[in-house]
Amino acid sequence: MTVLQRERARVSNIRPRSHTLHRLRSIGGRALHLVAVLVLVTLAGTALTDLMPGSPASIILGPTASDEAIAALNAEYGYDQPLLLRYLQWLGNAITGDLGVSIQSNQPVVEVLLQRLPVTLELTVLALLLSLAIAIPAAVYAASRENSMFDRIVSGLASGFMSVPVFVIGVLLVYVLGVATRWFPVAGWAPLSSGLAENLHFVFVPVLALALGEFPAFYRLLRSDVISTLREDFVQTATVRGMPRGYILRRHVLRPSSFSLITVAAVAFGRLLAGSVVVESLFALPGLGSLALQSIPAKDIPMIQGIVVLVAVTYVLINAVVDATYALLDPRMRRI
Amino acid sequence: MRTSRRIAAAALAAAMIAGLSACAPESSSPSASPDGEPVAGGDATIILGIEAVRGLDPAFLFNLTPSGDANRMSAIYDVLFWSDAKTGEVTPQLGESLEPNDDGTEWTLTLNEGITFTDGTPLDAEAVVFNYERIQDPATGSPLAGLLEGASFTVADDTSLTIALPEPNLQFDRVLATSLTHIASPTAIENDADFANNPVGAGPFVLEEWVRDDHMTLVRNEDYFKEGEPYLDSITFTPIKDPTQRINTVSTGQAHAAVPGSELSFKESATGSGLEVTSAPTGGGPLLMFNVENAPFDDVRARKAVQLALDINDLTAVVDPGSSAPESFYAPDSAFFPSESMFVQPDKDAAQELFDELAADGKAVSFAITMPASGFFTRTAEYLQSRLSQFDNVSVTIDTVDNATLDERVFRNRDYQLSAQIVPVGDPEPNFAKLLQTGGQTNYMGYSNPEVDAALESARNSTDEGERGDAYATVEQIIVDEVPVLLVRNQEAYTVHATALNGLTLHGDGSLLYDRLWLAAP
Repeated sequence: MTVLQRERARVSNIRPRSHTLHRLRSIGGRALHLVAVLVLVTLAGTALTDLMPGSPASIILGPTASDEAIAALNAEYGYDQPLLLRYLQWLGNAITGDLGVSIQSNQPVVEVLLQRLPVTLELTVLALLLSLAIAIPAAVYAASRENSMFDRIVSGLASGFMSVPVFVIGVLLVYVLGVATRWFPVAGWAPLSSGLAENLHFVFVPVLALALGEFPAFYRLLRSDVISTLREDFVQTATVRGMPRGYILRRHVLRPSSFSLITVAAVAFGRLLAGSVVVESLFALPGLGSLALQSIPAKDIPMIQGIVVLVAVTYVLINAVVDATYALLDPRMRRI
Repeated sequence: MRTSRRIAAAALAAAMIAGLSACAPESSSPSASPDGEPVAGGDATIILGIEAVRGLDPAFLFNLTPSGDANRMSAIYDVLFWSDAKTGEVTPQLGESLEPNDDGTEWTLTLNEGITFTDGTPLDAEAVVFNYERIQDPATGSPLAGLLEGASFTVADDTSLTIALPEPNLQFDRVLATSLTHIASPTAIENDADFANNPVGAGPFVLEEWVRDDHMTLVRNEDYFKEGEPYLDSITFTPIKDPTQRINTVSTGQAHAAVPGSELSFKESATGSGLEVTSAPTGGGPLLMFNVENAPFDDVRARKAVQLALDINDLTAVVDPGSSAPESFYAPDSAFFPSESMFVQPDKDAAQELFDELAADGKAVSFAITMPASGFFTRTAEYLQSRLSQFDNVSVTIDTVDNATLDERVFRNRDYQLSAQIVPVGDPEPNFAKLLQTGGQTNYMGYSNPEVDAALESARNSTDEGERGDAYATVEQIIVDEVPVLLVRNQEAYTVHATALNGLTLHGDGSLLYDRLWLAAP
């Protein structure tokens, strides 16, 4: 057995154990992290709704209600209790999966969230896929031909779309694709149950509006990362060895250039999930954004807390997935 | 790996193309009617502004704004009586008659015979009393309770009852036809804790499916009390927040009608897109409210100064193009419209003199405008700030608040200086009186003038149009002189619709009556 073989045997013996331990520790750490984030975020959510003027009862009962009626309703829902006590009560129920009942519509919060989530999730996933589908080929191509006509045009477009707010893009798309050409509906939603074609027909314009707003950041980031990877020695080596340009770009350049892109895409995913309020409202989509837009001014505290929990959980889970993706992309990460 | 990626990419592309080529669903249309007579059949989609978040309980009909619950309730519960959105004239529907005694202290309400709710229980006198007593019950917490305060009910037989009022009111039919006109099944209210989300009425349509923020589908009530009505097979209500998008859905054929909301500028864009507009111009409208209990507007000179400083013609042109400055609180074709315009011409010098005079008295006019965060009101606030800032000794700030804060701060606590509300005035009863009489339901200004109270009272209890006219002219003159409120735009309730949709009748503040809607073939 050579020295090298012995060393390999040693490494292969110890690696699995430390690897498992490391995994367990990292999963434990992440779970703790999740719990801490959830507690802080929901507490902040509750505290912020508390800072808003007006009590939930006065909103439910309207401007003509008497002070006694308001006090009675606040007591019924427990809104006369101190903030911390209310939060702990809510937390106790939340742990058992009971997020309470909307004080506006009387519907269970979990039921409403599960009804809204698929809409926002579909919108978010499709918007992200579409923006990546535009950004990745465009960025790689532009980077490999730096300062070419194509590079300059697409970079210009990216800067343009980046500086136009999504509601402007949305209104323009409505006009062009809806009102003028009538290719797509101007607003509304068809669930998947009414057929994939119908569903995509309704979701396409909002997805495009979001994707056009997101792709510039992806494009610019990936373009600059690809340009710097192209200057690495191993790319020069591959080129010298006569490998085809396209093959090098796909097999050697894209993978090491996509770390920042994945991080940014993950953040964008979280942001879109929580913040497509403008697009959902413009296109009248029954997702989480419209729900938030309705619940926050109405001080529907259980519903706001439900949305906050859902978004926080999704954020943390996405971060976990991103970490796992790093390991997939770069084997070195698996050992660290 | 590479193959599966290609498949995924191909699937995505195929899906997008499928989406591109798919067509909008076509609504089924009834057969053509060359003579314009109503035809049966068809499914209509109607776009509203806001979702019925709290469900559809008639005891919680907060306001009659047609972009919200009033339209849905009209389809599900129908109306006992309806008041014409333009004239305020009261017409029977589920009810047969509503007659006062001589002094207006007792009203006899008679119902049509044999009406049943869609759960099979009868809509009889007992059911009406059940609904009204529920509204009165403090435990219900109904915002309508004030309208029935002190009233008592006696059931005479299955179809008639008397309503005894604590004070004479010969115009009570107008109150009933606007705010107390929807009756729900007592059985459903008693047995279903979630009744508001499963409403049961005796209206032309029955709730079939409701996906919040997406659509509410109502189907024809086969047992509706009018033979052959409603004409439509189904109605779908869809809420869309953006008013331009509401009109777009109609102009692109996605929907048959839309309620654009309070801004009149959308009327022009709708007719520009080849759509029909059914409208009901009334008196009243958006108005500035001065809090007469707080400085600086507890001094009539401050209110007068603002009135003289503003050019309302300019304001309407800037804030809501296509609207106009009102000449009176009463609609141009109402019996009460004055022979001479009550419009106060702007007089900047006089306004500046008043502002200076107030400053010299140590009462410089400095105030905040508390406004909801919606287009029309925000623009009005900005307009006021920019125009009034051109004067010396005036300082104006804008406080934009959400509706909940507005409810609490302005409408409940009256902790404001200048704010606004929209008060449509078909007949001066009940809205105009509620606004101006001492302690009136919408008198958030804290305004009180015994002369106004007396005139409103005498108009309320007179059936003589001439007498009522004199009284309302007196009220209007006092309001122009004392300026507790200042009208800033004319009012017009309207619904935008495709030419195929016919039979639109606007009642209340502009909601539709659903038994008579019908669709012609395209």
